[in-house]
Amino acid sequence: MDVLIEYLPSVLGGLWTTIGLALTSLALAVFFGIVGASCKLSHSWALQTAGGLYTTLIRGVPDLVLMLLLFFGGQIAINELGFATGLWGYIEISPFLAGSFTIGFIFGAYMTETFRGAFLAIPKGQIEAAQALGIPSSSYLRRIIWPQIIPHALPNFTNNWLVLMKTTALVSIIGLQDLVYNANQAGRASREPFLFLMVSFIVFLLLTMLSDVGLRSLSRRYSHKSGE
Amino acid sequence: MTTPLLSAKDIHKSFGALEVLKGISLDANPGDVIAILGSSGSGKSTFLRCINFLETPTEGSISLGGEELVCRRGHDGQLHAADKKQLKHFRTKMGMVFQSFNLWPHMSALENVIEGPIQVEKIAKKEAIERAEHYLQQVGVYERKDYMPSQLSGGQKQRVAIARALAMEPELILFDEPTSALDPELVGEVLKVMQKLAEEHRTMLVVTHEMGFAREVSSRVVFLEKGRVAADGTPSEVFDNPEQYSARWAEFISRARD
Repeated sequence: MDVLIEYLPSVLGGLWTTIGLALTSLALAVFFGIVGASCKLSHSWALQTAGGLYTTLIRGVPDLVLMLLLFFGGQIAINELGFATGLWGYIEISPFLAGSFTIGFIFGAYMTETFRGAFLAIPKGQIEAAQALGIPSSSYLRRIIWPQIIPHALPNFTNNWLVLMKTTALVSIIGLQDLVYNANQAGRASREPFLFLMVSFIVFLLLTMLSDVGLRSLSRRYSHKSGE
Repeated sequence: MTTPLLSAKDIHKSFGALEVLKGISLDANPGDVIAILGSSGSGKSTFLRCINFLETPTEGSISLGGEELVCRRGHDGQLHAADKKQLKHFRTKMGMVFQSFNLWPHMSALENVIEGPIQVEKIAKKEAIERAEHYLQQVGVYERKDYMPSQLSGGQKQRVAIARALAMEPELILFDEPTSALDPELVGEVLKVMQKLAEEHRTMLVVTHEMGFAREVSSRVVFLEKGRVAADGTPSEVFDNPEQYSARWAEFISRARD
């Protein structure tokens, strides 16, 4: 018990990193998802191909491989580029930035499919009704399409978020001091690895359960609003 | 002779190798109620959708009040509006009512009706609500104005959709099989609203299977067959002497009488 009290602050300190990382990654994933879905739904052949390549490549390769590739490879690429152009010197990317970018980029591919599917689930007549009234596309995308995408996308979005949150545990391998990293360190130092693994186990379970409850109530609110 | 309100000239439409419309021309004068009949696959809905460019025609032109919609040929080989502003302007003058209502499910009946005036005409919300309430009253669903579409019957949904089209105060309303998706007992309430609009001398193009409406309410009947106009005249002309027009038309109405 004493060990637990001694190390708990450090372990829970990692929790903030985990939550911050998860939320930043989620924001990036939503951004990449919207861009990706727009590309895949566009009429342009080039954009469709780019979007298709993105989702196929990212979803086909293990997260761990991508994480290492983007973190180390990205770092090298940026410095090589800086050296070749002489525009900047040596840059060390912060693990937090690299981690959230990598996770955001990976889950952006899943979000792309989520948003694309949700868009396709909206009957074409909904858009035609807006067009027939002369409503400009910027208005109907915002006022008619987007509010309907949300309820269609929520179930998949929830899944993606839960997996994304668990994926943050991978950043401990690039040296980011998140919940898992700190728990692991505490376990080693105190020679109680099992105890601290249980701490991360419970904390993750609480986090996912909490978000599940939140997203479920959001989903209920939307389905209630459309009266379905 | 005065300029017609709407003039569709030689409209062709092909989907790939399939030519659905083979040159249809139609003029509508103010106050005309034109029923467009035809068996399924005759191209009647496609023709109606070409008028407001929800479907892009392959050939032909559309004019409204003497002003022609400027088109250019797209990569898909179809005609597209060259000027989005002009197309928007055309569309605000032409209301459209769909077979499947197409109400926006996340908005109440009233919100569905005020959306167009607010987003397109940029009028104040208060004014839009007053206008919407007036038209909801006119189509007889005022008491349901705060209901969501899912809480309305098919007939009520379609009447809200008609109010939505009316709220833009269009010069012409296109009806694309407005009663085909309704339960038989709900068809009457929608037809009654349409008849009232006809009595107000609104200009209407109605693609329909309702022979009664075509005969009693419309001022002109156009029968399409395989992408061409096979009969065109006043209801008494085309219904009383169908053989004069085409064998298919005569067969069509004799089958409808059964």
